[in-house]
Amino acid sequence: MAEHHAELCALLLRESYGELAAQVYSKLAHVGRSTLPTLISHSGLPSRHVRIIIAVLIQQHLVFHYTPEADGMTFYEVNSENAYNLLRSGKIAKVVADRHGEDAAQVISNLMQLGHARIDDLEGAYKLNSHTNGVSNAATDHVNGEDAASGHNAKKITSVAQLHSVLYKLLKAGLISKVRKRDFNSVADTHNDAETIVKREEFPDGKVTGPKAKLAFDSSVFSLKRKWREETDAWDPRSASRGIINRSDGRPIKRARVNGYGNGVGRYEEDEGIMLEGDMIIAVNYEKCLVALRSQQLERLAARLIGDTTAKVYASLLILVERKVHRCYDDLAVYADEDHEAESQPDSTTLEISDILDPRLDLVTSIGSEDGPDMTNGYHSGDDEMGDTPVKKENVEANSYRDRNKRLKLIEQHMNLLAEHPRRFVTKIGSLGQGQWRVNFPALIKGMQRTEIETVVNSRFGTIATRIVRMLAMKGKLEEKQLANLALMRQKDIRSILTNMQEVGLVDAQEVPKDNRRQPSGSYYLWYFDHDRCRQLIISDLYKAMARLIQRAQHEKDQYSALIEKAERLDVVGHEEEYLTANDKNGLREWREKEEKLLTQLERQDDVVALLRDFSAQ
Amino acid sequence: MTVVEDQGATLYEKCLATALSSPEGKAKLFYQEELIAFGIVDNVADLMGLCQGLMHAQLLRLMQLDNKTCFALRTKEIANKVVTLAEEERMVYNQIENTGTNGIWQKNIKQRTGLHQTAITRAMKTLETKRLVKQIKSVKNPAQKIYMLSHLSPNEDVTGGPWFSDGELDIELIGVTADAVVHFIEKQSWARGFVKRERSPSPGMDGIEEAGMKRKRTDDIEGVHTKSRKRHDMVETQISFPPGYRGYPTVSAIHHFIRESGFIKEDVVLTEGDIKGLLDVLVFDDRIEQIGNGYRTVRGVQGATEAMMGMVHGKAPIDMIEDVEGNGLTQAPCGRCPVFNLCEEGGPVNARNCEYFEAWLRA
Repeated sequence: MAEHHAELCALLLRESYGELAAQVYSKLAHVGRSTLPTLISHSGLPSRHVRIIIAVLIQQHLVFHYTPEADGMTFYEVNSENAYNLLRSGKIAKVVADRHGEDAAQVISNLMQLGHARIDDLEGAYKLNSHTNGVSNAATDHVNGEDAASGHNAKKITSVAQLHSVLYKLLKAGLISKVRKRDFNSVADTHNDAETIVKREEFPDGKVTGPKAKLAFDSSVFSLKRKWREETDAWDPRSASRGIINRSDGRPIKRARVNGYGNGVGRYEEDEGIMLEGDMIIAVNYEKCLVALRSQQLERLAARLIGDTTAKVYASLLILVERKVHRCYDDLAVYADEDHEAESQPDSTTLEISDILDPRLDLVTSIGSEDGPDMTNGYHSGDDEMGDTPVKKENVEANSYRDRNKRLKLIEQHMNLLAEHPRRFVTKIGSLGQGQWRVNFPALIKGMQRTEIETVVNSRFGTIATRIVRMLAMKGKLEEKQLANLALMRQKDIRSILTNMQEVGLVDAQEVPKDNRRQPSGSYYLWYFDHDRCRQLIISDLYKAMARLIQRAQHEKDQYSALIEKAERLDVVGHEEEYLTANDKNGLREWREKEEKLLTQLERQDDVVALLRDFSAQ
Repeated sequence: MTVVEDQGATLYEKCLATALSSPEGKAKLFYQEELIAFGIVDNVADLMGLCQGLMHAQLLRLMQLDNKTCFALRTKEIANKVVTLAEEERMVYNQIENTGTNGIWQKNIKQRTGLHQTAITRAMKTLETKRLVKQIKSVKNPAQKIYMLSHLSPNEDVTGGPWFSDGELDIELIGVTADAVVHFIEKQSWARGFVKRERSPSPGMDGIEEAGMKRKRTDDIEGVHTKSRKRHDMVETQISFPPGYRGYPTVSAIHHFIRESGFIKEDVVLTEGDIKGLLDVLVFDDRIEQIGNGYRTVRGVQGATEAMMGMVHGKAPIDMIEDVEGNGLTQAPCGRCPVFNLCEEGGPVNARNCEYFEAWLRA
């Protein structure tokens, strides 16, 4: 798997930073953690080049570096996660554009290109000089800045104030964060640091012996790591005294007036005058971006399985719970069992959903009537408590409690639909705020992962194989005969499918001898399905397949290189009609179509990687 | 006719009448006390005489149940045939008769009677020509020769249940039934409605919508792409019943439907458990889902999987890889590439010379 991953990352680096960077990266990935001299001698490149490239890669957060306190040797290591994230930049920009507008998307893609940046430098890069003219046209019209696609148009960053307000918005949403020194160290180094500190402070003799001491040591290391992380997580631009220094007009800081962080009804108009401290260094917080991508995939699933409107209601809930989490799963949390983990998942209420839900969304016609299937056109017959006409726009906007309560009821109905679906999209945990809903992410994501694995099994081995895999996943270990009985299949028919799947490792059999002679004929073979192993197998295939897509795209580009060069010639640009023949244009179109096909597939494969790898604990 | 014979006949008639009116039918067993209670004779010795007479005529046979002696009836026609049997044949017949609807393996007959194999074969031939016994196939041991009385039908342990025909799993029957069940459930699972689909104002949203569409199974929503410049499209779609809806078909409703529709032969007992098994398979196939007490189809599903239906056309299960939508991996050539393991940069198979890519890009 590592091999395919490194190959893919090197290809991504080649696209973004050129051949040399890719070479250094893949060398470093190959030799692993090493010092600069080691790397140089392995790479066979001039040392000056390697040094420059390493510096660039550090700036891009693609290489970790670490200098142990004892001796001054610095070790370098690839940051494979961030290298992979290069692939995701388009997707992240799209999510940000949907939620926070085009200007925010522009800022975040710039930040992704830069790796990290000082706010002052960012300002400089935009070549902004005016402090005033942008304020009036900056974001004022949207409901709360996260209302997808309602009030945003393609806005460009035109003023410093606008840039700062956008940055502030993104900081508050957690999509970008302050860079800390530890971000440049790998996870293992951070862990070692924590161990060293704990050893020094709590075990002065330097010995951790015996199970008791070991336990105490582990829990101290753990809590120290948690503390470090919470420093980053808890940093909130509103409360940080260092973060915001002054308002644009030079008056003293006035804390932004927001109605509490949790309930999300805060409006952003007050953000206009906020200036962030110039020498703060910021970078994209990919962990939080993943949370947004996760919500997107969940919404898509709900739309497919229940309906578009219900999915939109669900999306609102997901946005609300997103505010309560910093990452998709908490690897430092300790749960007693699955129930405990489920209970620690975030929740929100119907009232809060109604606050951020698009008021124009028609909630009525998307639910059928109780009367049964042979009703006409899904139109309401008017005998239920839901009202007899679809809610009209004016009604919603009219400030009437009755309408508001009716709408709350409707939202609750949609939430109930989500709750009663076998996937258990939400769980009702109380009736506070017209219904309090929790999203049990671990279980949901596991279900989605299984669906994805089943899709792969389906395409390779057929529906019967999928049926078998699902049965094994739900029932545990089964013998061939039981399996055949449950699947309503002949034993001889499933035998070949099972062995085919065993060959590639998607299912496996455990041998249970009946007696101590251990003869194969006298043994039971219990088939089982290992979720995590299948996940890893498929992720590995995905890395490889993605690398192939990129290579093919490059190959296609090479095929059409003469044409592309011609089209990009300075004298041709702008005069395409004049210089390009019909043949040329056809060729170009052909190439674009091919490339688009390849890149679309690449993006969709990344969706699968995100689901299988990033949305749940490893 | 002697008094004893006469009394014997009366006893037989009474037993027959009692048996036929009892819930067990002809299979009813009689204990000594019951026979005395008929009041034809009043002491055990006389009763023994009567019974011996009947047994001699093969109308009554002696059995052991819970260490108590009991008697079972034979019909007159069978008794007439049995009377004519030779001693060895009768022994074999008794063994077969005693196993009832389970049937008995030839080897077990040999064991229990202690007869020689040739004698048994001979006896069996006579019994079969006299249409007293028949050979049946058991699902558990398809290779064994199992015999049972010809007028009985084998029980479920032997036949394997309603999904078996002639001792083999009837895949065609399952496929057809499953398809019908899915259609039946589908009609009651979703309301048909028109949903106003807003045209996405921003191109960014469009992208997401499209990605979502690719994952959908049916084109009931997406198939409609009017070119009108309205802000909304009215599209027909499956919309959900309100939460807590009770109209989803339950196991017993589906059971009823299958019985009424006549997919299963009349004489086969179809329990709700059998239906539950079929429904479970459909759930595993992602065709239907359990909701509340009932079932509904997964949104967009119509009918059973092709693989299930494909059985009807006699295809092997491994050939039936369905062209479902799939994900990014399964749609790209690599996801199904037979030489994926060999593929590497600079190797004999690579992304540049890949013919699957070539075909896929041209498609």
